[in-house]
Amino acid sequence: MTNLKPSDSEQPYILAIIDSHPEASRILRAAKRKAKEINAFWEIVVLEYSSDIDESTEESHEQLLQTLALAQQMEVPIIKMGINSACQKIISIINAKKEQGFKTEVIYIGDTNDISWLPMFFQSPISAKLRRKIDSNTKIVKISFGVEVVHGHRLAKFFRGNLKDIFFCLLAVLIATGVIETLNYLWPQSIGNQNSTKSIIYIIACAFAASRHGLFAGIIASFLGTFMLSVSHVQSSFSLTVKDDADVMSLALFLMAAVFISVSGSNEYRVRRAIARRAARLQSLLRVHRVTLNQKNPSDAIQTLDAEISKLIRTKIAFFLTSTMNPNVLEALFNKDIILSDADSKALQICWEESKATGVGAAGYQGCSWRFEPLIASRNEIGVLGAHIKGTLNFDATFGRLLSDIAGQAALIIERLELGIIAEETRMQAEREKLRAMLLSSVSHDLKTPLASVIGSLSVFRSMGEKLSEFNKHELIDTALEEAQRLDSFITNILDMTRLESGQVVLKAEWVNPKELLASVKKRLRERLSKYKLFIPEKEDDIEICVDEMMTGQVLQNILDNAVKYTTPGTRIEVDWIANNDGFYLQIRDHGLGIPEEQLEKIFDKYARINKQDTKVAGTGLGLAIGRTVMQAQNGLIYANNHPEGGAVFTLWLPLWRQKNKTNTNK
Amino acid sequence: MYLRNKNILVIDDTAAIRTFLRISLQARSSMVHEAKTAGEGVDLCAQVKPDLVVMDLGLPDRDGLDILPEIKSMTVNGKSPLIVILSVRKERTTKEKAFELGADDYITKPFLMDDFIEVIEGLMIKREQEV
Repeated sequence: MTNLKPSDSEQPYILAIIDSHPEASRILRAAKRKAKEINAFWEIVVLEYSSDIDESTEESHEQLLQTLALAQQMEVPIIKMGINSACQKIISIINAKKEQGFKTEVIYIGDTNDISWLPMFFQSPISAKLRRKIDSNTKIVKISFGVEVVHGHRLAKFFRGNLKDIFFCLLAVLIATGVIETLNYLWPQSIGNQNSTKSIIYIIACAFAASRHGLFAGIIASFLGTFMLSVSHVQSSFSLTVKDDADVMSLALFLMAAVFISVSGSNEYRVRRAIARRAARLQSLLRVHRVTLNQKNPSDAIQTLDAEISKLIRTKIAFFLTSTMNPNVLEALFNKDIILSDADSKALQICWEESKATGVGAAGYQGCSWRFEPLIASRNEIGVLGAHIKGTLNFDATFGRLLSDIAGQAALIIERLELGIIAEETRMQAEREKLRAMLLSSVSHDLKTPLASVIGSLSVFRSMGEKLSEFNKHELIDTALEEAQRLDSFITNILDMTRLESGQVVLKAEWVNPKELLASVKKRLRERLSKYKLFIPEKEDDIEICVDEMMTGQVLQNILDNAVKYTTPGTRIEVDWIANNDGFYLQIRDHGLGIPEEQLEKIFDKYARINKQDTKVAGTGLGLAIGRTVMQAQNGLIYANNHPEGGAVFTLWLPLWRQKNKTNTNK
Repeated sequence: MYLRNKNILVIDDTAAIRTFLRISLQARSSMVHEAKTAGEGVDLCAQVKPDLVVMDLGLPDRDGLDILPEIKSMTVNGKSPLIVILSVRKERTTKEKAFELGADDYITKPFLMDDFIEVIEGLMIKREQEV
C-alpha cells in the first residue's frame, strides 16, 4: 500500500465511494486497479443511508460488512459517513488531502446506488453534486451496476421487508371499502355517487397506512384506493370503464392527493421510528447510568460499567485509564490480560493523545481489532474506552455512535465519582490535619507541663538553694523527680500508642498470675501511690490469665495513674478480681468524684481529650486509649462505670483463665 | 526586695508548679495563696485582694482567659491586681487575647525561675513608680 506521505510534487489520490449495494465490491476492485496503475494512495468512503443504519435489514448489513471485509483485505483506509451532507464531507476530505500534498485523480462511485425513495424525490445523485463542486481535472467514474442487479437487490429486499406492510395497506383499503359500503347501505342518500366522500375515506386509509407502515405502504394504498374508487364507485356498475373525462380527472387528483398524503404520513412514520430508536438507545444508556449510580467508588463503578456495557453491546470492552503511578501512561482496568497488537496499541495511543476515535472503522488503522473512543469528561480526557470488534465485521455507524455515547456517559460517571472522592478526600485531609494539629498541641501540653515543673523546681533550687529550708529543698527535689517520672510515663504512652497503631508491637500471650502482675505494677508505682491507700486482696486462688505481661501491666499502671491524678491523696484505691464461667474480671475502684456519664465511653478515645479546651490532667486520654487497644488485641475488654457509693470503677475482662497447673480452662 | 510582703495568688491545676512557685516566692517573703481551679481562683482573689495573680490558662473548670476580666475588675484603691500568665500555649493570638483582656505579662512554660522573678519584679517596680 502506498504510504500516506506527502511529497514535494503532488501525489495522486483516489477515492472510492460505496454503500451497502451488493455490487459495491466492483468499485473497490476498480479503484484498487487504478491506484496500482498510477501508484496512487487510495481510500474508501462508506455512505450509510438511514435505511442501512436504522432499519438495517440483516441483508443490507451483511452486504456492507462483506464489502468492508474485502476492503480490509485490500488494506485500504475506510472513512464512514452518514448520507446527510455527504457531498460536503467528501469535498472536505478532498480539500484536506490537497493540503497534505495529494491530488485527487479519480473518484469512483456507483451509478444507481444513491436511490432511495426520498432522495429520489428531493435529492440529485451525489455524483452530480460532486461534479459541480470539484476540480474539473478530477475524473468521476460511475460504475454502473445494471438495472437487473439493482432491481433484483432492491425488489428482493423490498418484498421480503415489506410483506407485512403490504398486508396492512390491503387491510386499510379493505376497511375503507367496507366503511363506504356500510354507509351506502345504511344511508344511501348520504354517499350515493358522492365521489368526494368516498375519496376522503380512501385518503384516510392511505394516510393511516403511510403513518403506521411507512411510505411504501402509503403508496400501495394510494394506488389500491384509486383502483377501488375507479372499479367500484366512479363506475357504479363495477366495471373498469371510465364514463367521462371528469372521472379521469377525479381519479388522477385522488391519486396525487393520496400519494402526497402518503409521503407526508410516511415522514411522520420515519420521525416516530427515529424517536423510538433514540429512546431505546437512551433507555439502554440510562440503564448503564442507573446501575452505576449507586456505586460510590470509581473502581466499582468502572467494573459495573465494564460488565454492563459488554452486555449491552455484546463485545469485550476495556477501560484504559491513567496509571496511578504515572499519569502519562494508560492502563487497562480489570482486563489486565488484554494483549493489544502493535496496531491496536498505536491506535490506543493516538486516541489518547489526539482525543479522537481510532482503530476499527476509522481511516488509517489497518490491522486493528479494537475500536477506541476517548473518555472525555466535562473537564478533560480521562482515558480511553476500547471495544474489541470481532473480525472487524460487527462495526457500523450505529455501533460507532453508540460506543461514542457510552464513552461520553462513562467518562461523566467516572468523573463525577472521582470528583466526589476528591472532595471527600479533601475534607478528610482537612479533618486529619485539624486532628493532627490538635493532637500535637495536646501532646506538647502533656510533655511541657511536667517539664515546666522539673525546670521550675530545679531553677528555684539552683538560685535559692542556700536560703531554702531542708524541707523545701526535699520538696523541690521530690517534685522534680515525680514530674520527671510523669514525663517518662507520657513519653512511654505516646511511644506505645504509636507502636501499637503502626503494628510494631506484637503481643506475646503467656499464663500470668494476676496477683503477681499487680504486685509488679504496685512496685513500679510506689512513689506515686505513696500518698494513697492501695488495697490488693490476698487471695489463694492460683488463677492464671493469658495476657502479654508487660503491656497488660502498662494498662493497669495507666488506670492506677488515673486514679492518682483524679482523687485526693489519702483516699483508698481498691483492686479485686473474680473468675467464673463468664471469664476473668479485674476491677480497680477509686474514691474520687467519679466520671460524668457522658464521658464513660469517651475517655477511651484517643482524641476525646483534645477536643476539650482544658487539658487539666495531661496524658489521661492516651493512657486509657492504650488500655483499650491492648485489651482488644487480647480479645478482652476494658470499660468504666461509677460505683453506686461513689468513685470510678475500671473493669478489665478476659475470656480465658485457668487454675494454675490445671489443663482445663474456662472456655 | 520588691516582693516582700506582697500578696500573690497562684492559680494552676498542676501541684508541682504551685509547689515550686510557692517555695520560691515565700523565700522572697511574699504571701502566697494557691488555687487549683478558675472558680477557686476568682473566690480567693475576691477574698485576699492580691497584688499579683500568677495564673495558668488551661484550668479544669474554665479557660483562664474567661476569668481574666473578672480578676482585673477586682480593684483595691482603684488599682487592679497585676496579672502574669503562665501557659504552655505559645500562639500569638492567645497572647494578644490575654493582653487585651488585662494580662500584664505572658510567660510560656517551661521557664526558669530567675526569668519569672525578673518579670514580676519589673512589674512591681513599674506599679510603684506609677503610684
